[in-house]
This record gives sequence, C-alpha cells and structure tokens, in this order.
Amino acid sequence: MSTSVPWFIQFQSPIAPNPSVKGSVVGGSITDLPPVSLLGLFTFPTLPWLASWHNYVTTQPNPDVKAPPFSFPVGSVMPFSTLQWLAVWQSYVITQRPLDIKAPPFSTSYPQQQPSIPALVASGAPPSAIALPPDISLIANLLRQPAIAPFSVIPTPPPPVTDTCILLVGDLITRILKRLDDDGTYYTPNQVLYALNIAQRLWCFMTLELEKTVTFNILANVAYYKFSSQVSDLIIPLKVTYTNFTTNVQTRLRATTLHQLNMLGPWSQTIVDVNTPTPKRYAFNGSDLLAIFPQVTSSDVVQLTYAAFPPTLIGPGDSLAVTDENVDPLIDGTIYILRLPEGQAELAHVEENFSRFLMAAQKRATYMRNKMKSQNYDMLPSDFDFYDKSWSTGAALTPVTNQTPGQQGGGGGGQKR
Amino acid sequence: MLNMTQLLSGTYPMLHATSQLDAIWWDDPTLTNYSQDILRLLSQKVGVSVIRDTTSITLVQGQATYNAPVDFLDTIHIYLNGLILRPASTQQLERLDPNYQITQASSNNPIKYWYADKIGPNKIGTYPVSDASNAGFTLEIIFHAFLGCTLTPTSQIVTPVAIQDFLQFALLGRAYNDESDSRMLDVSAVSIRLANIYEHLLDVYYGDAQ
Repeated sequence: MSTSVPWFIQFQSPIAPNPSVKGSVVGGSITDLPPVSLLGLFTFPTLPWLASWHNYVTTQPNPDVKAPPFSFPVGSVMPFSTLQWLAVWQSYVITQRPLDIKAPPFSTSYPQQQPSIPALVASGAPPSAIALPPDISLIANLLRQPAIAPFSVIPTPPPPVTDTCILLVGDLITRILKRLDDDGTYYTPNQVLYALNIAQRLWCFMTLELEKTVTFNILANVAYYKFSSQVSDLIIPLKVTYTNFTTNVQTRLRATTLHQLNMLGPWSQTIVDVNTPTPKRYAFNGSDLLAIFPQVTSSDVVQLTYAAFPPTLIGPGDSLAVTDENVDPLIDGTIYILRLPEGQAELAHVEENFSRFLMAAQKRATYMRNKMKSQNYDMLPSDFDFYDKSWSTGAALTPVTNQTPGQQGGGGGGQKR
Repeated sequence: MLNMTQLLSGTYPMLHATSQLDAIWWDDPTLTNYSQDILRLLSQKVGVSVIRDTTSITLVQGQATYNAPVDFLDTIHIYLNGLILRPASTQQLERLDPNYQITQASSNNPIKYWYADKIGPNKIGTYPVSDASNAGFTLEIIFHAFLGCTLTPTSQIVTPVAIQDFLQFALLGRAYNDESDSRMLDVSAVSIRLANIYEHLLDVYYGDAQ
C-alpha cells in the first residue's frame, strides 16, 4: 500500500436501528511498521448512547503504551486535540487492537456490550472483512478511499434518519376533523389548530417533556435577571451551569432561595472574587425572576437547561414538538377541547378522550420525573398520581351552582427538590 | 406571553360566536373584566408574579411610612443597601420603642425592620425612621404582584403562556355560568376543572417564592 491511500473503517451495530459508525483512518503508512501517524475520525449517528474507544498501542522498543480512554458524545466528531494526540504516536502498530464499544448504564435500549474485536492486521493486502464475535457482530470493512489529508477534511456525516412516523399539522387536522365527523365547516381548521396548540402546551406543561439548553447572558455587577428578557418559552429552569473558559471547568450552580441567600449577608452586592471566580448559586422566584450569586465582574454566560413550552403551531407544514408516541393523546385532548362547548351528551361522549389524555400525560410525567431524578435536575414534573381526577368522568352530567375558578379541585403533590 | 387579542379571538368560537359582534351575551369589555377578576384571584392564590422594585420607595428623613409599589400584593423581602430588613409587627415595635414612628436611625441604630400592619393598605413602614444619612436611598422590595390589573382587550403581558390557557378555560367557566339563556352549567363546571389543572401546576412550579 502506498502511504497516500488511507483506510476507511466502518462499524455497524446489529441493534435496531442499526446505526453505522464509520471513520476515515488516515495513515502515513499502514504497511510500514510502525506508521508515522494515524488519525481516526468518527462520526456517530444520533442515538442515545455514548461510545468510548479504548485503544491500546504497542510501541517498539517501548513496552505497551495504553492510550487513555476517551469518549465523545453522540453525533460529534472526534476532537482534533485527540487526533493530534494520536498523531504523535511514533510507533503505532495496528495489531492486537481491541475496540470496546460500550453503551452507558442508563441506556436501557442499548445494553452493555463489550466486544473484543480481533486485530486489524495490516499486511500486504488489506482484508475486505473481519470476522467478529457473534455477540456484537460489528462488521469492520477496510476499504480503500482516496487520500485525505490529515486535519484538513472532516468526512461528511451520515444523512439524518428520516422519521416516517411524523405527522404534520395538516395531517393531524384532517384526522381530527374526521374523528369529529366534520369537513371543516363546523370546526374550522383554525379552531382545530387553536385547540391543538392548547393541548400541546398543556401536555408539555404537565410532563415537562420539552427540554432546551441555551446560553444565558449574565452581566457585570448584576444579581437579578428576568428570564423573559432572553428566553421566551421558559416553564421552569432545570439546571444552571457555568463554564470557566480559562480553566475549562464547568460547575453547576446550586438551586437555592432568596431566604437562604439572605443569610449570607449583602449577597446581592457580592461579586466574584479572583480566588473563586464562578457564580455558585441561583434562585428562581415566581415565573420570571432569577437571582445569581455571586455577581460576575465582567459579562459572561451561563448554560441554562429548562423545560420549555412548545413553539406555536401555525401552518399545515409544522410538526409537533412532542415525541411521536404521544400524538394520539394529543389528538384526544384536542377533540375534548373542541367538544367542550357543546355540553351535555356530546361532552359526555368525549370524557373518555380526556381520560386517555390525562393518563398518557401522567405516564409521560412519571417517565420524565425518573429521567430528571437521574440527572439531578432542580425541578421535577408534578406527580398527578395524587391529583383528584374523579371529576374527569361524569362531570358533564353533574349540575353545579355558581363557581369561581380556584375554589375547587383536589389536592396533588408537586415536587421541588 | 398573555395575548388578550389572541385569547379573545379563540374564546368567541368556544362561545358559539365568531366575534363580539354576534356574541349576544358577551363582548370584549365583559370578557376582559372577567379576565381581570380571574387573574387577580390567581395572583392571590398562586403568587405567579414576583417583581423586584428598586425605585418606588425613596427614603425621606423623618418619614415613617411609604406607599407600596404599583400592583403590590404582599412583600417577600425588603433590602436597604443590600442588607435584608426584618419583618416586624407594630405590636413588637411598640414594645421595642414607644416612639417607633418618630425615632430616627443613627449609626448605632440603623434601619433594621419593616412593617405593614395597622398603617393602611399598600403601605410599608421602616423602623427606625430614616435619618439624613439614609435619605435618598431606595428600598429594594421583592413582592408578589397582581396580574392584569389594567387589562384591556388588546393587552400583552409577559407571563408564561400557560396563564393564557388557564385564563381560556376559567373564562369559559365564568361566561357559561352567567345568568342568561346561554347558561350551560356542565360546560362551566368542566371548564373550571380544567382551569384547576393549570392552577395546580402554576402553584407547583411558581408558588414557592421565598
């Protein structure tokens, strides 16, 4: 093999949806042992798993040098710093290289797997395929590719997976009208869209399903902020972190209350000192007020992870913000909202729809609560297991007298950590 | 964002009308008034609106009490120059100093307390009273505020959009409960109970201001 011909390694998992991991391996020389440099470049398709690559290098005449394990999140390209580190191996021999692809413990869909991939032996003629143990069945294909200069070209990531289950707003409106036995005359598409938006917002409000992480600007000598000045769709903050780009250390701000901050003295006038140059705590009051302690001495940012309201659906080409499996409960909720003003028998007939919506939301909220607990978020979705839902059935047939909002309703525990 | 224009345009179809022109029993001013009442009640129950004010109260030498900020509901914290003032009652202050409404602060006796009882609604007092050295400083007040006191049919209020949805159902509950030929008590009851779901969640997420 000439030194100008790199190798292309591809790994494909047998586990649905059968992701493939491929990278271009550029070597100064494969057959010349040891090669001068070796680069590995991997892109991973979007999956809920984390891969770590343990690489063992045999150098001559030095004893085995074990490369430290490194990991890279889903969808990322191996950082160049790692590539550069790989490049300095002077005596890299592609022999006896076990590759461990491990799924993280929290990934229930992709259980732990620890294959031992036999050596990729560089010999005169590159093998077209390598037999792998059946437990993982990763297939590595060494293919010749045109020369790729080191550090200069990032391989094109694989195309995104097409979601064939997605339903656009136009489809949803059509289906909802069909279930209502209407052709858009009595319930106009705009009315259906309005109800669908309410149902989706209620869903996200109950389950906190939609999470976002954004940078939030913090100013010098300022302790109080309004979330609404920078974030328009916040429900509640879940986590606030601060990254010191000088030391490359990320710290998590602890959730606290103004009352606790008051015990620290004139906290709103305390600025970060040079010895501990990071904000440490934050307090969230009402729906918009944010306090950060201590203040920074120059403008900076924090990373805010929060539960978000979904974007407003506007046209038939828009798609829901919730996951596909939750579309049916949303349809049920929309139908209930549309039928609500009819009253009597028509309302009674759709009580079951809303029960399904509530049950699905409850189930989703439970899932999100467990997920957020594992991530140690500062707030959790409310637990509707303890909420009195007995009114949701039969209420249409129960006569009531004058009532004021807020003077009824069962108890129910929310959870704040 | 609470958008009253959007809310009202979405409410009329649910009142079996296209706009206030053919909504026989309701119109924009009526529904807006209902919305004001509902939001005032929500503010008292949940405390969703927490505001920090640093401009409304400027200390004046010798002045014991001051007007609370606009839309004031109740106080959470009061600070002077970054230091928290302790809440007290007039009874406590009377025992501490019979002339608590006259005694001015000094270097040995700085302003330490605030009180709000027996001095009328929407009033805040400090003890000791401001002296010359404190005059001109402003009190920093963090308080619960009323929402929507000056609501109009075209108002836009910066608040979580869930409040608009809450208002939607609470408004239906109020409207269908009106004494009229349009009264539908079952729809009113169910709408109010839907609004209660929102109220419960608003209380869980925003009601713990400390």
